[in-house]
Amino acid sequence: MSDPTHPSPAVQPTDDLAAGAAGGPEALTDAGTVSTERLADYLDSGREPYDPLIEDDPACLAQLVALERLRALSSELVESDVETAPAPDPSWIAGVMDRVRLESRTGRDIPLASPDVRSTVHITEGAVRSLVREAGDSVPGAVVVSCGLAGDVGIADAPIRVDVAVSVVYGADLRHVADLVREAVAAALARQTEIVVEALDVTVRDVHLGAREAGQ
Amino acid sequence: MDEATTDDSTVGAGALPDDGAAPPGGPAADLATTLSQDQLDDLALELGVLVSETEGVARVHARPGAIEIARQAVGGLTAVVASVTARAGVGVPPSTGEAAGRPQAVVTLAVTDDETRVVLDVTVHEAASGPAVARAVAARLLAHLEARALPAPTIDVRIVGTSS
Amino acid sequence: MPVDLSDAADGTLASRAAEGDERAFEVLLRRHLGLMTAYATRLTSSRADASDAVQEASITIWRELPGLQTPDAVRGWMMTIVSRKAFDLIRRRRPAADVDELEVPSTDGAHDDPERRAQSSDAMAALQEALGRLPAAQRRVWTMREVGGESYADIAERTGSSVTAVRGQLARARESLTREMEAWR
Repeated sequence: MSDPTHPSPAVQPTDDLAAGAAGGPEALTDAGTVSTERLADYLDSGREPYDPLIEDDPACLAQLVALERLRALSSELVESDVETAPAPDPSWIAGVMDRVRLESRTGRDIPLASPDVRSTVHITEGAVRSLVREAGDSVPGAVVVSCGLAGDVGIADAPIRVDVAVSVVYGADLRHVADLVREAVAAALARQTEIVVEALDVTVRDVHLGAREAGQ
Repeated sequence: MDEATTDDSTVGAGALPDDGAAPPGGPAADLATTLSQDQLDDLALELGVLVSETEGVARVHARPGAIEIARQAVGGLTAVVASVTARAGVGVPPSTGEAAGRPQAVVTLAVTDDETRVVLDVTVHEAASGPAVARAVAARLLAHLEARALPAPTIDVRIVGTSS
Repeated sequence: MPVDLSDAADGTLASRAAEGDERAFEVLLRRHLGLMTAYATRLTSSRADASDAVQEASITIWRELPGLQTPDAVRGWMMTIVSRKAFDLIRRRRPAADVDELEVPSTDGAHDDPERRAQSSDAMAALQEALGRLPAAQRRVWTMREVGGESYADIAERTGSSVTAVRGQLARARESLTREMEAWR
């Protein structure tokens, strides 16, 4: 266990403990220089705040730079792993998706009116979320991030609050898009459900780049 | 809750003695028990086709856990026909013991002394009105079963999605 | 025509998938499948085992997505599930082995291939070889930190160790690797 750089007497061993490497002897190299853990922590923090004990000491700095090179090379190695990996087998992915579909999130059953006492008719909460998503997605520039129903959906005619959060393409009129989403969702709910919508709230939670801006 | 249980084949008459001894009394019971398993199979398939042909219906699916729902809801179960497949409507493999090429029913049909319960899930076309389609499906099934002189039919339809 | 999700942010995809959007889940899975597979391959040293571990991880990810409080951090979260499944698999399939003494081949297979070695830079090949010379426990901690991006706490829990010990092993691994790479330069 030797440290490749020369010991630097200016470094206080207690700094290592302060940095959180409270492991006693493990935290220091044999020569009592700045420990690798401390250098790694410093790298993790983006070399902020500037630490003169490391940066101004040529030996420490050399060790830090060597660690940084190792980190960069490690990233390249991982990227290479990913690039050289064989393309995913379509049947492998299909197999996963088949299993996923078995566990579809239907949620609560929401009653629909039935004129005949001998029939019960419902729509699932999952189906409602799905059609809310599609309605919101259909508005140009909008992508639904999240949607939910609050209230006693199991009771017919109970007032329900509907929440929709969207991401809007950069540059669009946020309020206008939100209004269009509200209209589209309200229309879909009216056509496909019998939910009494007490409130329909559309929030712009995020902004995303359009395909053009993203350089596609 | 494990909703993915697969009951590939028809579930036999649980309450009937295996040696085919005299069925429980009552005229409805006689009707129910005089229906053979094959006839029940056919009926379930028939109902499935009826539903899929209803305007606005995109797909018919087996209700996960339908057999358990049926068992809990009704007493004196005499016969249940179901195919609760894990992959409702998609690439359904023939179950062991059934004749090759015989299609799987997706409508769950539970017949008791007093009741003929039908349970199913549907995906409706996005452009249609889901509630109206589901009610139309229920009405059709009721009409079809009334004509068959089975024990009183009850229909349980659930919309699980819309299709564009 | 459903909206194009291929450029949607990780957080958007995770949120939608948590609420049942299977299409969003598939996009998310495909986006990170390469990294998940690379990670599982390095942990298990077997492409076949890695494939199984990633498949189990994918189903678990689908199941547990509704519980993820920070959808934006989904990628790191997915990687912790991959390591969980990889470790489970190693324990199941090689129960007699003490994981620390597990004989891990010196390369992960990809870099054994002469064609691939020619494609990758010499520096990367040197790093790969240096990794192979590390003690198995150090290499594992290095992999979990550098490839998996896992926290010290998660690494400690997964390996049945302590944060202090993990930091120590990682430091020793990095010292060995920097020493070899600097010498190589």
